[in-house]
Amino acid sequence: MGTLAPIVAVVLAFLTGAVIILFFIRTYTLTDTTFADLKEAAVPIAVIEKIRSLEGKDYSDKAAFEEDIASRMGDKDFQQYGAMISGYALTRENPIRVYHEIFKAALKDRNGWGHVLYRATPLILTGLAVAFAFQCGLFNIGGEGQMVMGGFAITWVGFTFTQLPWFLLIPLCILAGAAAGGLWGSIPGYLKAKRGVHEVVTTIMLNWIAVALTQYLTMAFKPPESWIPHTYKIAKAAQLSRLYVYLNPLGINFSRSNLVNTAIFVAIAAVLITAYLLKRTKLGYEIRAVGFNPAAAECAGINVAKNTVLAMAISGAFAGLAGVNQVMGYKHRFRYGVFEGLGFDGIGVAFIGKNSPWGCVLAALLFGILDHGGLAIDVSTKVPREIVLVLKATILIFVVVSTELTKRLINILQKREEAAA
Amino acid sequence: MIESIFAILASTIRFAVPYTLAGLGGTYSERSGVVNIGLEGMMLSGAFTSVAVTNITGSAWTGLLAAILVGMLLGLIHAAVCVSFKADQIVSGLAIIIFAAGITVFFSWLMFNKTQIKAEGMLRVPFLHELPAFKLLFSQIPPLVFVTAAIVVASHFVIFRTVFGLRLRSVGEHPQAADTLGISVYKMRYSGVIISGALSGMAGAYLSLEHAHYFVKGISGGRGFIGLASMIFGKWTPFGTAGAGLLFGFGEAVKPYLPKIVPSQFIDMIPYILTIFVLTSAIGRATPPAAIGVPYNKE
Repeated sequence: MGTLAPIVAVVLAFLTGAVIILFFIRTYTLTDTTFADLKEAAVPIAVIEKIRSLEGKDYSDKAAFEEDIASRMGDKDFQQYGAMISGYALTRENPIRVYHEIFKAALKDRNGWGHVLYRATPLILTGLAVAFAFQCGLFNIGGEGQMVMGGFAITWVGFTFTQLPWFLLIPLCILAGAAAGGLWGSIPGYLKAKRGVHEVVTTIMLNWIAVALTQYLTMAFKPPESWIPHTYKIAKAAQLSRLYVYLNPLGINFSRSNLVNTAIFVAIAAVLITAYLLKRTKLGYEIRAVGFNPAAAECAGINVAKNTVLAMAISGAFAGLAGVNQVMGYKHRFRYGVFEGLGFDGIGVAFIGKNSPWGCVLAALLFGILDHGGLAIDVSTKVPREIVLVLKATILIFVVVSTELTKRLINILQKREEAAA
Repeated sequence: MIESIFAILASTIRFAVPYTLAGLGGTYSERSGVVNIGLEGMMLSGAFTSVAVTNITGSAWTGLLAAILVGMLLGLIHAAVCVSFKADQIVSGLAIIIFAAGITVFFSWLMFNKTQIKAEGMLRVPFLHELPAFKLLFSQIPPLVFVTAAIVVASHFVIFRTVFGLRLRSVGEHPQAADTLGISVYKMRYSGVIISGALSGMAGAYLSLEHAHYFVKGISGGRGFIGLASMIFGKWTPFGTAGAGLLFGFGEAVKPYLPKIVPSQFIDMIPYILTIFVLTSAIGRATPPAAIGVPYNKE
């Protein structure tokens, strides 16, 4: 049941999305088939010929469509046939086609897969951040702030220590990202452990502080000739190569413009480390004990305060690593725009993945598919790509209500059985 | 000199309105025991709805009403998820933010084919707007400012002086005790969250109709969170929230007059830093309602 809930939530969310698409995406077009239908419905040929010139024109607005046909056929005919014509001209978008376009763009070939992996990489990390803290009973919604702090640290190291060779600079950048994110994450951990302040409020506030701070730092390290608010470029040695560099020599044809890069291995390593840390080490055991029951953990001699701070620091470090993909793998500079929202999406990823490391990977892939596939529907369908955000929000809602929903369903079923017996 | 002081004061008040309204919304919700970080999303939806409805119907007051209704609808969803389904209140709030960010742009593409929509109307008070003195006043301080001030005073009265307010606070402090006295915990929490939606929707309408005069993708830009900060800094009281809203509004208003040495980003941080300070008792002490964030189980 535990693993079923997210799948049910995804299905329910897609159904909700389908209803929205069916209800709101309407277009009025006069096509050959419309004219044939109208002929069959006994609309005089003379009337049809008058609106023939509008053939193939798309209207999303009913009023505009009716105004145009009325001006062509005259008010008298319009009163008689107008409603019928708009009825036949109305077409709705087929939600299955929309979803098919999303998944086709994301999964039909290697290129699509590559983009999905590129988009999933930072989400795996920000999702892990939330999931890890959750194991300690902490709700870290400060992923956004920890991520931009880490991202900036990565960039700063990348454009400052330009003399270092790649095998020193790349690990140094990664460490800097993890350290900055971890430090930023340990602040709410410390405030929770020592002052008893709930981490949800402090992490929200620290998000916005971090965003403002990095925006200031971006302007401080902006190349003077640049009009765009971004920092200096990181050294060549700090840039990660895209995967085509390795795949093409192996005979696997991979597009050079595909953004998936070696940062994906950092994300996979983070997943493995999390799984190992939580299940196989003393630290992981203590963190889970604190999350399960802090009072009992304290009695058993586990230092709750220390583990709270540590869990938040590790959580922040994961979020801080998201910049490896965004900066070292893609933009090569710091700019808030390439990070915006990834930290918040991580919360959704963690919840849909039921706060398990591998669950986060699956959920991040789903978000990656939606994000990349969403770009395609703008072109191939009449549905704005923001439907993807609606889908994400609805999945999230259904995931969190699923526990109570199944409990109620079971209750009802049990009562029925009792009544029958 | 005097002129710029007046200009700063007027724009302080203008900036304070959305913070105060959203903060008040948060106060109603949190006093009843439900965290509402979805204020931001409710505000954004209100901002879009008010402009869309104003442009279609031609009446800004109808737009305002529609924004309040949409806010209430989102509040109802948040209440259903958190109170009836006992789901995580933070995740539900976050989902509302994501939903609002998507659905507002979705409809602005569908209805207007662009993501920046000019508001074709303003809130005008019948009769009063005809008088030159009031016309001048309203051009500096929009009518909704006065409505907001009235709501602040009324909220203080409602929360601290009425039976409804007492019940609202009691379900947020100790729902079991309230339940044994025959107070419906669910009903009170639903009311608190729906009121918070209405006020946030209104804050959004103010933002797009009266402040910016247009709607643009993501216009709320974190103001819902500053509202949340105002509520905490104001210690969950209407007057405190309004005071904090004015303080944060002042920071925003004084920005263009500051010397270049002070980076504007540091002014932006002030509300959040102050909130962390009051929570850690570095200055004063802010204690949230006791039962906040915990779903109530009747059995």
